[in-house]
Amino acid sequence: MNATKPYQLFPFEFMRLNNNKRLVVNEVGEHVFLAEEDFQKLINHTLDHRSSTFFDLKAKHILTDTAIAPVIDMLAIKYRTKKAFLYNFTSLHMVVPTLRCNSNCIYCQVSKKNPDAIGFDMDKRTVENTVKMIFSSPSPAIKIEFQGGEPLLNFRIVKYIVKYAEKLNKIHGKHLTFVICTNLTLVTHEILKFLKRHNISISTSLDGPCELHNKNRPLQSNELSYDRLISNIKLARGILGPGSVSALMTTTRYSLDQMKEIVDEYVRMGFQYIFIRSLNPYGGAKRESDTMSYNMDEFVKKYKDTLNYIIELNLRGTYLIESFSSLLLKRILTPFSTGFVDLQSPAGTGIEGAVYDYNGNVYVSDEGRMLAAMGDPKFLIGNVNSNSHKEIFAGSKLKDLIANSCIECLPICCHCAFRPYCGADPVRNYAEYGDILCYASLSQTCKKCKGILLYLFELLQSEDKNLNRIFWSWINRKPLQELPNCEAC
Amino acid sequence: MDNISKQFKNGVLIFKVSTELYQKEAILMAAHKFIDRCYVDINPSSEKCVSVSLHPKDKNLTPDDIALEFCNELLDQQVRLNIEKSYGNIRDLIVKQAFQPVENIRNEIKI
Repeated sequence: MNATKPYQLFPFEFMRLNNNKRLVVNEVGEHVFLAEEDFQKLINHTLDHRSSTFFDLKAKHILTDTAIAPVIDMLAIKYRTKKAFLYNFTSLHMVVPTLRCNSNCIYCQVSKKNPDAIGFDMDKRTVENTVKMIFSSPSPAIKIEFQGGEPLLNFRIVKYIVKYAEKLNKIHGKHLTFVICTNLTLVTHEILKFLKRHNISISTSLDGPCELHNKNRPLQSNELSYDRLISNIKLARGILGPGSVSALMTTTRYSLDQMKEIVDEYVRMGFQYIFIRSLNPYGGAKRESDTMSYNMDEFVKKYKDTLNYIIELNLRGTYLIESFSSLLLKRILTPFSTGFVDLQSPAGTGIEGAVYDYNGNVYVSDEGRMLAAMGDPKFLIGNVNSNSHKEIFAGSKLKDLIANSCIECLPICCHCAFRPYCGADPVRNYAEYGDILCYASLSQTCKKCKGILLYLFELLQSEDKNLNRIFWSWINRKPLQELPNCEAC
Repeated sequence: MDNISKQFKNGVLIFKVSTELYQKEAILMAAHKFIDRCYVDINPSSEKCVSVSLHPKDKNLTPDDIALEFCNELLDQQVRLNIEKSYGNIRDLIVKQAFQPVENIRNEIKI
């Protein structure tokens, strides 16, 4: 301890809030709201040792009046826990059995091919090399996620991948799970029975009520997809069980005035999760941005209104989790690491998830594949038919990408109070402004995350007990009535 | 000179910032935060003064708001630099101890 100072400060970041308070956040994401007067006392080393503010700051390892080394040890343990997503290396493996698709989504980001196109299906040699590559990952848990195109258009190969992976896993003994991302329009009893036998869960897309969903996601045959989707969700649940189907939505300009209706549709369809996702700047969404896009301030405003509505529904007894807020709240309120490839530091690209295209090309993320489909192969890191695991996943291309995605070392990000909850997405940065580095002032992702995080902190600052219980029910993935009656939740 | 003076001329906000009170790093970090809304130009003005010009990209932005925000940002960045100094190498030690623990961390602390 420095003899001239009554206490030692530990690293923290801060930001001004609108109500003359400061948000103070330590290196591992523990936070305190301080009145301006207390903040000034904190940095000038004049805080009263007997005040509750002092004890609060000491408990959050923002200062100490005792030995320094044990506090460093404690913070190091917490830091290691927060970064636990780094331990296992790549666990999410997205496989594209075909690029053919029967959908004609207005924002299509993957440059899909027609359902009868030839030469866009994965062949058996590529399947075997892909699955072998996947099992070369040191991760004890392997999730294989079928992406598209529409994987059900090449279900023969999906089955082959599943069976081949299960065969290899008899040797490797990993925790192996499967997810199939499908528009569900082509699903049959036979397909669903296969999914059930192999414990494969379904992720589908539901953009909202009938008219909006059909506008955003028509089929290539000019048919409308909504009715078929809804009846097949029910069919799938009947065979696979009630929690077997999850859904994602994409917000277009047409969605912005119907956010409540979108939420109501999710409730009506019995979903317990909704992820209010903004448009990504790839493929059709980028080409047609004038007609379907919006600025991020507009999105954040709508997001906040929608979040309020979802909270209101929860207060009235409807259990529905908004997935993005839930993820951020877990980062704010718990010491645990959370998996979300798009928002990690260092970035999750390649080291948390990777994409295997129909032709064996390996990309650091699905968005990397989308850019390649638009003619820019910058994020192609190899091919399963011609490169080894070491060449692909320990090559200089991936190393450079990861080394440049630690927000702890980036200007503006390194001093942002939201840093412990945030992350980098070099592919998105590159798509937005042509550089993998995050320029926080220019990044739309930064604008979105900052806006949403700031709002969550405003809500947390209100110390509303009912609201806190809802947040804890989201973090714990349990309805309110199943939560214990404790002070924290 | 004043620690900070400002002038609005031909649509450009010009600050003269004393380097006796504000470090160059703080001035650069504060100005960098405005690159989404303004074109930024930084030049040494005299031995103890740096000139920062903020040219708003959007004509609807009011110079007063930008000026107030810049002054606050500059102050915050200088406070950050000041308290960073007091941590010594603690931040590095937290990361080091997390991933490559040392036997006696007490010997490594430099404050």
